[in-house]
Amino acid sequence: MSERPSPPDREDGSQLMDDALVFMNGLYGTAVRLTRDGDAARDLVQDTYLKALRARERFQPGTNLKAWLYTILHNTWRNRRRDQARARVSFDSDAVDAVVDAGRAGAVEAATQETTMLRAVQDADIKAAVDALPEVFREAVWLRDVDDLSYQEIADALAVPLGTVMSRISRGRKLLHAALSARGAGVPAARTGTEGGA
Amino acid sequence: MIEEVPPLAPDCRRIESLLPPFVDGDSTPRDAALVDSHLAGCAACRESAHQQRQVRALLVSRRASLAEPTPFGLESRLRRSMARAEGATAAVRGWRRLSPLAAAAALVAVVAGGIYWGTGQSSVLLAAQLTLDHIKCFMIEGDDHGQTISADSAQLRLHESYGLDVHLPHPNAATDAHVVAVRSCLYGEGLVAHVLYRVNGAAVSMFVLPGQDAAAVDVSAFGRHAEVVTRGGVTYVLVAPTQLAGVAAAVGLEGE
Repeated sequence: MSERPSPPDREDGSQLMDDALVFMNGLYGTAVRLTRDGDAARDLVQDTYLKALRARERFQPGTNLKAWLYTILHNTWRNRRRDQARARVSFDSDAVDAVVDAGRAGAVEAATQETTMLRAVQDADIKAAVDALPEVFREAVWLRDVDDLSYQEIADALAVPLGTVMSRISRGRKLLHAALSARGAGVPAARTGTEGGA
Repeated sequence: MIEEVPPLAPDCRRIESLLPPFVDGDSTPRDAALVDSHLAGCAACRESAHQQRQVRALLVSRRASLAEPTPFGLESRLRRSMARAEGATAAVRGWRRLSPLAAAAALVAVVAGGIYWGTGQSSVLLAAQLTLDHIKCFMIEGDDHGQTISADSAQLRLHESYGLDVHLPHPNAATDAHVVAVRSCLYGEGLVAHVLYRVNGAAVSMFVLPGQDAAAVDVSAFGRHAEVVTRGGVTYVLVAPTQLAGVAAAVGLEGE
C-alpha cells in the first residue's frame, strides 16, 4: 500500500478545490452583488468552481488562488451577459460626472453631519445603494472595500488597466456616498443611468 | 450651496484616480506626495477624498454584516458538482487512454447503445437514473426557499446559467403547478435541463433532453413515478410521487 500522497501531489486536484472552497463565501457575496439574485448567484458560483476545476492545470501553485477565482467568476459572469442586450453594462457617463462633480462641489461644512448619517445607515440600505450603482463601479468598489482585493488583483480579475480600476473605485465611492447621503437625508436619489439611480 | 459646478481641471482628473489608494494608505510615497500637494490647494478634491474615506471606512467596518449569508448546503452542492464533473472528466481521460482497437470496440458499443436507445428498456434506465437525480435535487438541495418562477423565466435562466436552449411548456393555469427552480444535471457526457416544480405541493421534476427520442414509458422506481414522453423530437422525463396523477397535464405537456 502506498502512503497517502501529500497535497501538492494529489492529481485529482481535490486539495486545490479544498483550498478554493475557503473563498466560497466571498465569491457568493460578490455573485449576489453582480446578479442581484440568490439563485443566479449560486449558479454563478457553481459554474465558477466547475471552470476552476477544469482549468486547474493552468493554476500555478503558490500564486494567488483568491484572485484567480475572482477572475473566473468575473469572466463567467461577463460571458453570461454578453448576449443579453437587456442586461448590457451601460450607464450615462454624463450623469455620473454630474453626480460626482456635484459631490466635489458640495458643502464641506456638511461633513460632520454626513459622517453621522453614514454611521447610522443600515446594512440593507448599503446593499441597496451598492446594487443601484452601474455595474462597473459596483463590482470595483465591492471587490476593493468588502472583498479586500488589492488594486492589482482587481485589475487582473476584471482584465482592465490599473488606472481604470482606481478611477472606477474613485467614482464608485463618490456615487455611493451621494446615494447614502440621499437616503439618510430622505432626498430623492440622483439618476445615474440605465442600471438605476445612485 | 452649490452655485456652479466647474469642470474638473486636468490635475483633478489625474488626482481622482490616485485618491482611492491614497485614502486606503496604499499609495507609493511619490503618489502620496503628489496627492498631498494637490489637496493642499484644492478644496474640491479634499472633499472628494473625505467622501471616499467615509465610504471606505463604512464598508470596511461592515464587512462582516454585509457578507451574504451563504445558502445552506452550498458547499456540499459545490463538492458534489465538482465530484460529478471530475467523474465525467475521468471518463473522457479513460477514453483517450484506450488503444485504437479498444476505442473501436467501445465505439461499436456506443453506436449499439444509440440503437438500443430507441427501445423501451433504455427509457426505463433513463427514467430510473433521472428519478435518482430528482430525489437528490429535492431532498438534498431543496427547492430554493419555495419561490416560484414563471416558465419563461425558467427558460431564460436555463439559457443564461447553463447555455441550455430548451422550450418549457407553461404550467396549466387551472392547476396548482409552479416552477420553483432550474438546475442542470450531468447525463451521459452533457448537461440536461432539470426543472423543479411544486404540483399541489408535491415535488415534481421535468428533465428535458433535446434531440433525444426515447420510447414512451411509465416507470415506478424508488417510490416515485417516472414518465418518459416525447414531443417534437424532444424527450421529457417527468418524475413525481406515485400517487400524483395528471402531472403531464399540470406542467403543460399535454396539448403541447
